[in-house]
Parts: sequence; structure tokens; C-alpha cells
Amino acid sequence: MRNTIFIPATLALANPAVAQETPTPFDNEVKLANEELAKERANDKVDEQVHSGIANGSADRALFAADGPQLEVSATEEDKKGTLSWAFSGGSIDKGAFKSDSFLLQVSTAFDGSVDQKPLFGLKGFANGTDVSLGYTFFWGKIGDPSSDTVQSEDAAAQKKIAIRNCIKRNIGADPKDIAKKCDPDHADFDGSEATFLEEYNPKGFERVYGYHFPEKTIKFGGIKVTGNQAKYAYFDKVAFVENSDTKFGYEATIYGGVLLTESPTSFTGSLTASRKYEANDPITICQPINATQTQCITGPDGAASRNKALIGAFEVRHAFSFGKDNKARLAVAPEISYDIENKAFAVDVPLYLFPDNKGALKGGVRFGYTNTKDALGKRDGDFQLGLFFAVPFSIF
Amino acid sequence: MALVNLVCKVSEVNGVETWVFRHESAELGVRRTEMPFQAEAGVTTRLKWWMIGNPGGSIKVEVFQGDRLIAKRLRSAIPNTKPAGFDSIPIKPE
Repeated sequence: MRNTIFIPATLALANPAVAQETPTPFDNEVKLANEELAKERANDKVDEQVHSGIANGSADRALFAADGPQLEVSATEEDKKGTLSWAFSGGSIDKGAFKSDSFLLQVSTAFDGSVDQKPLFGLKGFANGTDVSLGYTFFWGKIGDPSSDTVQSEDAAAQKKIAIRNCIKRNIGADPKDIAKKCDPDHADFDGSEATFLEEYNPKGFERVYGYHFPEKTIKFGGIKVTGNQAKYAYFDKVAFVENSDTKFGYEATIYGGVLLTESPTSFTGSLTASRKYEANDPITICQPINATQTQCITGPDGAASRNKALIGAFEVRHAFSFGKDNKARLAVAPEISYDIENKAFAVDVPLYLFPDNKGALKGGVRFGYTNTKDALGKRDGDFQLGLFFAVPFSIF
Repeated sequence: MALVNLVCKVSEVNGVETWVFRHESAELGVRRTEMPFQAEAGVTTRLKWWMIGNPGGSIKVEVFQGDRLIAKRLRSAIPNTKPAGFDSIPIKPE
């Protein structure tokens, strides 16, 4: 019966981050883990449980973060449009209270001045043309540093040692170099963070230490996003029997704010969106005689583009459910209820994220919806929807 | 006691919305991708950081002394069950 593991005390020499002549804290944990294992082996109480600890790859959202303004110009021949982006992010911190800001300005324009009605990405159906998008997001919260408090500091260090010992014991038999990489968060090639390490190898201690780092229950966030669109709409003027065109300005402005719970992956967001969009009418064809033998026909949208205005208030909850041995997020919901004050309509939208991609990030699922609208005569009409969605990554924000 | 100039760089941001860096008790910055700071040559100190974002989100952290990489964290991740995470690495400049 094997009752010891042979993890050399010189293991740390394989660790460039901690290589030094005197024994490191990790060396001490290796020694202690050996001693504990010997006792546990003697009592046949070795924990053989294996945790994979694979992080749930999350959003593929574009994130702009830079010390100074970042200017980016992109152009695609396929879409015949150019985009100019300017992003800036930063923040401040005072006595643990931090504020984080990010600002994005984006301008897109069509190369050929087309009046194509193809919607541009992220612009919720604005027609091709020139688009200007302005976004600002902030986070407010508080962080704690256990090292500034003797009791917390000692406890955090003790919990880390327990996690190291548990890791070493769980990886018994593995190559000592691999054990060092896996079980010493100070190792240069360690994969993960101290938080993920504690969560995996000392879950009880993790909850307490996490509370030292995030002493408040919530982190506040908020922002504003404004998009303007200038586009030309061709149409057919039936009275004058001529083709005509109008240039229209559409916009969508959203202000939002919410809280993120620090103890669980849950957020609550309220928003107000005002928009004015233009939509080309359905095409018609009208012919008229131009002489005794010939007829002229014109096809085009029936009249000037229609204007749709909306003022929508919405409340949304987002939550990811983690379960299984590795505690990965395997299910997420993001129900939203919204009310259009302008058009006296309301809607409920419940996306259920079920399908992960090859990295484990939830990117698809089932969507349940209900929309209740009021027509020009005041009659209400309810409509249930059910559908599948793909390639939409779940985000807690 | 010679202080040397170091630079902390954040890259490969995936699902982390913001982050806060601290070296010992000095604040280095919020949501910055390059943070210069000073540390004592030959002395091991700790670079600490906090992350806010999606469960499983991650960043890469590297510390340079001039052109030389002296410390790194390849994939500092937020735990799967939380919307925030914390981490630290030892720094020992020459």
C-alpha cells in the first residue's frame, strides 16, 4: 500500500516564478500535502474526485479598452461601406471604490451612396447610408484587499494553502512539473486565477475569500447609446407620376442602468429607448399612355418612406445557472418585459440559452415571446412567438 | 534600494468588462491595457488585480522590465459561478 507521494522538495526549481535557494511556501505545502496524504492513505480516505475547472468561455463581444484614444478605420468592398471607430476607456479608484468608463464613437458610410435597404450590424434595422453611433458605459463598485486587514490576510493565506494541498493530493501520481504548474498559483505557467484555483480546490474557503475581495453585494453599471442614420429613400409619386427621393434622419437613443450581484451571476437592468425609423413602402407599378401606341410604366415604393416612432421602457433580468462537477454555466435566461409608451404596446421576451459552442460558451437556445399591440382603430392584438436562435452569446450585462 | 521601471500589460480580453490593478498598495489603474509602475530591484512583491465580467471571462497579464518579460499570467479567469474574480502574481525585477 502506497502511503506517501514523492513530490521533490526541489520542485520549485522548475518554477521560474519562484525559483530560489530557500524553500518556498509552495515547497512547504508539498511537504504538508505529503504528510496529510500519508495519514489519509492510512485511513483509506483519499478524495479521488476530479474537477475539470474549465472556464466557460464567455462573450465574444467587442471590447474597447485602451490607455488613450484608439482610432480604427475599416472598409469592406463586399458591403461597400467604410467605418471609423474611436474608443477610449479608463477609470479611477479611491480607497477601494472604483469607477470605470468606456466611450465609443463610430461612423459608417456607404461608398456608393446607395439607398439599399439592407440593415447594418447592430443598428436594429437602420437602412444603409451614413450612421453615427455614440456609446458610453460605466461601472461603479468596491473592491477589497485582504492584505490590508490582518485577520483577512491570514485567513486568505490559510485558505490558499488548503487549496494547494488539496490540489497536490488530487493530482497524485502526475509529473511533479505538471503538479507545480497546476497547484502553485505563483507558477509562471499556471492556467487560471487565484479565484478559479480556490473555487476548484477549496470551495468553502473561496466563498469567504471572495467576500474579502468584493465586500459589497452589488456593482452598479449604466450607460447611454445613441445611433443616428442619414439615408436616402427613393419612391414613386403617383400624383405627379415621377420618381422622387427624400433624405431622412432616423435615430435610436437608449439610456440604461442596473446592478450586478457580486455573489451570483445575476444582473437587473432597466432601460428607456426612443427611436424614429423610416421604412420604404411596398413597391407598386403604375403605367400611363405616353402616346397612341406606347405606355410608360414606373415601379417604386408607394409614396415617401413611412416614419415609425417608439418610446420603449424595459426591464430585464439576466442569470446564468452553473451546475455539474465543473460548475460550468449550462443554462442561462434573460427575460425582458417592455412597454412602448408611444404605440401603447407591450412585449415579453424570454430567451433561454441552452446550446454551448465548442468552447463551452452558451450561444444558442429557444426564445419565447409575446407581443400585444394596438391598431389604428384601438383594437388590441396579441401574438405569441416561439423560435430558435444561434450565434448570440450570453452576457451577464 | 533601487527602484526599477516596469510595465504591466493586459491583453486577450475575453468577457471581462473592467479590471482594477494594484501593486502592493499603489493603484495602477482601472480598465487600462498598459500600466507603468515601479518596484524595488531584487525584492519580491505582488501585483494584484480584480476583474468584473462574465463568468469564465479572462484576460492575459504580462509584466515587462524594459523588453524582458519578468512575470505573466496566461489566462486569468473569472470563476464559473461568479461575475467577478481576483488574482495576483509575484514580481521580482532585477
